[in-house]
Amino acid sequence: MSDPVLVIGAGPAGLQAGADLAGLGIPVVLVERRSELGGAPIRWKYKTLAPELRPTEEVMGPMIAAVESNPLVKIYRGSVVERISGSAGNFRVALHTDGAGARELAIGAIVTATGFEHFDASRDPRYEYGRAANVIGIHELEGMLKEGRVVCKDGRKPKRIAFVFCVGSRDRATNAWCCTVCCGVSIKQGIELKLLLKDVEIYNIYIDVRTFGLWEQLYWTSMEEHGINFIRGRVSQIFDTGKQLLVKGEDTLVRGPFEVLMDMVVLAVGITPGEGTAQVAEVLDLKCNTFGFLQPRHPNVHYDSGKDGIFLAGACVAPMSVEEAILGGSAAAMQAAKFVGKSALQAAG
Amino acid sequence: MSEPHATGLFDRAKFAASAKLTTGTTEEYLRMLERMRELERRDELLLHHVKDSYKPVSVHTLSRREKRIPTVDLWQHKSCGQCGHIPGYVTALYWIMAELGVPFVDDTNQTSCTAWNYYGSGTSNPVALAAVFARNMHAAWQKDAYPLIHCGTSYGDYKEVRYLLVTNDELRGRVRTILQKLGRDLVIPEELVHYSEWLHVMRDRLAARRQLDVSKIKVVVHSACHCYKLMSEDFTYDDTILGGRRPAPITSVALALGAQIADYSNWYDCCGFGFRHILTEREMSRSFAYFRKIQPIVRETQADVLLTHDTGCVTTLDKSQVVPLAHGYKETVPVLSDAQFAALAMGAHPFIVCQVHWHVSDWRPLLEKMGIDAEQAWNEYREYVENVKRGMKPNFIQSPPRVHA
Amino acid sequence: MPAFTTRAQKARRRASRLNQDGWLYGGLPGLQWEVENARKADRKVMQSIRDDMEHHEAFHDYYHACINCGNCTAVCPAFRFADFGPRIVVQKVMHSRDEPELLYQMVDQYIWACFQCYACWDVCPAHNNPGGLVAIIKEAAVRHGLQSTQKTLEPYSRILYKLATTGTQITPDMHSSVGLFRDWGPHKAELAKHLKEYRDAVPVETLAGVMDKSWKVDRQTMDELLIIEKESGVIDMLKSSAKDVGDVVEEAAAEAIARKESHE
Repeated sequence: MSDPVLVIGAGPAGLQAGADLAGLGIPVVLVERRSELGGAPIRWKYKTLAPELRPTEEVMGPMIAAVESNPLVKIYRGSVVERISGSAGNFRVALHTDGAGARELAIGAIVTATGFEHFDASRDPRYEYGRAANVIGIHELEGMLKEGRVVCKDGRKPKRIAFVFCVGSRDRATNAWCCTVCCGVSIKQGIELKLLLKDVEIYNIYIDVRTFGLWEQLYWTSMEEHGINFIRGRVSQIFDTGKQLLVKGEDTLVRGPFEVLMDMVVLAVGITPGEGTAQVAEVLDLKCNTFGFLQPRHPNVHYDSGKDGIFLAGACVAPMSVEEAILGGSAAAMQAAKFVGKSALQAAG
Repeated sequence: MSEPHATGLFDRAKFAASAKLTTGTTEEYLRMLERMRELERRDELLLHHVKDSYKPVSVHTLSRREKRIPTVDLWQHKSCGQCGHIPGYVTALYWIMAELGVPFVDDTNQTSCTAWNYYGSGTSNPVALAAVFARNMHAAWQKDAYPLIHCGTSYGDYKEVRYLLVTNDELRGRVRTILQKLGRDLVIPEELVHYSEWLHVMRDRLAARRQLDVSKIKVVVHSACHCYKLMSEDFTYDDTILGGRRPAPITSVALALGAQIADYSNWYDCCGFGFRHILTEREMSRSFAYFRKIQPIVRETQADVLLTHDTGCVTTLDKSQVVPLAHGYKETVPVLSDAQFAALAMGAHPFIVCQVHWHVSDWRPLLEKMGIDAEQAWNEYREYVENVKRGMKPNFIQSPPRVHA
Repeated sequence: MPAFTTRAQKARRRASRLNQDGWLYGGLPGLQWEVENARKADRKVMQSIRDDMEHHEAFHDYYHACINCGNCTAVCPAFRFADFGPRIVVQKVMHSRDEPELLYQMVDQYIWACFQCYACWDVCPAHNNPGGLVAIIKEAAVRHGLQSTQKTLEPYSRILYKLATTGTQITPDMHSSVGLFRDWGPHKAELAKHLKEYRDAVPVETLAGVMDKSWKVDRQTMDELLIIEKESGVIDMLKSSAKDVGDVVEEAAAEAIARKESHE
């Protein structure tokens, strides 16, 4: 039996990679920093997935079951990769597990799928995140939607909710890139809020609406079927009056200022490479680009890390949707399978 | 690093990419500081260091860079507007320094920074502004006293021209030529220090000499645009003051003195000075100052005093209340500088030193609430003025003796 | 003579609004009379102003891509009370590379609304500096001695003169007449009455008794400022846009240079 493939990260990309490799008969070591599998969709309790608002379990359930039920996949929860040595085909990997200490493994190839973190909006003081009671992030709203309970801190039902797009995105002061999905996710959440809270008014305050590809239907549906409002102009400041939130900006289409009172403000917090990605980049000596994401050998071919035997998948390379991360995991698994196959042949012949 | 001349948006993009401008102003500013030290190493300019003899105290800027604030042997870089029509502002600052035993140099060899004119009328240019800056800095360096900048606009302008002097070789060359004609070298201060940052680091010593009880005084703060929005990296931020989200000066001094701080929805708004507007289009200045600052402040906080740290801000916020009140609007609040407020709390005379009679918005309720007998003080002031008229020399505030000349 | 407009007249009027490419000028907003003026202005002057702006030392620090997000305008004080928006300034700077007329549309009145507070620079996600661009355009307008600039700066000339010659700007003697700052209230009249004695009594040595300057300034210091103004081209700028002041200051500078040379 060949040395296993190490998959770092058990989000959609890592789970798909692990399932695919095991399905080909290749042993897998799946390392996940947190105590539960599933990555962002499970951690942040996504209720549904854009664009069709299908329940998250439909996708994540089978993926998690696939690795948990396959004897070829050895899962290490609460674990991180601390050190590697050796070379492609013949890695020695040092793992550390919370409460169980260190161990060393022989590994044939590595798939890096360390995912992302949401932008910590308390770094941008204009929005009062972390201070004003009713300013939350899209990641926190998902959990509230899943529980079926969206209320202000003082318990009352919000009548007016604003989504502020591009928080910690497209901003040279924080993160210069676009996070790809938060337009669609915000609009999706707006629709879910309309379904949950019957007479709530939703305002999407945007610069551009980047509902890419087939996600565009969300944009039209939100207006036609749900009466969600769109205001064009980046929010410059949020002030907490104590009772409500004063949201300020320029309406660039009408060319007038707006200062509107909201009961709740949801910040579409962007996607950042995160500590997991940074740590793994250091351990595996992988290049990161100026934005901190893992840099593949070629920007249009994500799985190729430029290092023999190491493959990249998912949001650790660039911000992306769940469906793209799944594709990325599969692609990296294929490359890893090719690689260990060739190694096995060379070893045999 | 002489920037290649780019001819349009797309050339600029190439230049920006190679200059790694992905994170903008803060990164550029920090890189400018590195280059400043490099130029010193190459003998292309003299740096006026914040050396230990100035007894510096460290603070953090927006990017958490350590900034050293000198505390003694300060060269008073005066503000033309302050000295011209808010004399109590600068007098209060000198009085505080004398009280604390802080030696300073008040030079007659100083020109205005000329930036008010530049921002107002555009009749200047970067070479002139940079040459004026360098000229004043050289005068301070000659006296071995560290420049302390009294005006927010001077501070903002100097941040800009120092950046240009360091990063633009051609401009530096032209300024050096002009300075040579004046018999001066090119000296750049290692840190640009605004006087309110000095008050901030001295706040505990101010509080130790507090004579009046200000615990019932509700203070609102306005921070000058040119101090914290123009090249935002350089000003002082403190995690213990306003959670490090807004500049620390003024607020920190008021808190140290024991006053209460109130917040309002338009904290981040400009005062409305406008540089040109306050002189030749005043309806715009006062409309803005009144309806976007004074009225919301009074309605939301009922504050006892509005404190700020810049000539223009004191002027606009104070003087813009007259006409609206004449039109029947009710909201009004007295406006003072942080220096005047601190001096008053430390027992300075409201008229001889703080000269609040030059301020328009009614300061009487504030003085009363601070326990100052305004009528008696005014009589004292009148007597003092009469004595001066009769030939008595005013009791000039003297700098404490310098430890080294 | 028909009392109504003929179709032909309407068509001609419509056609006259097309620019050289055949596109209708609808695009970017501006004050209508400024747009009209720009259409009639001298193309060479327009191009010269555009070049002036592009060659400015700080232009490339101030100007990057603009995504029209509106953050700048949201925090702009002038936007609240005047027909002005920093976003429009950056957009017009951007498009003026191909159509210098767009820049010219702003020089008469638009740019003079700016408060130069730089809140726009602080919030721009691309780190544009619209206020800085406005300052650059103001410089260009002054250098070109535009009539509108001269008119705008006319009420300001007394202060210009004071600054250029003494190096200080707002001085006590400006308060001795009530007229200049009448709207600062009736207390101004009180102040004017007692001005001299109040100033004599200021307990700061460099301020006491000084009426014509903000503080006591050495003769040599004022001379140095005049020399800086001469060498850096400020006096030429003054002569372009405030001729009377410029001429007087030029004389003062010549005297200053003569004094310097006689010392050497």
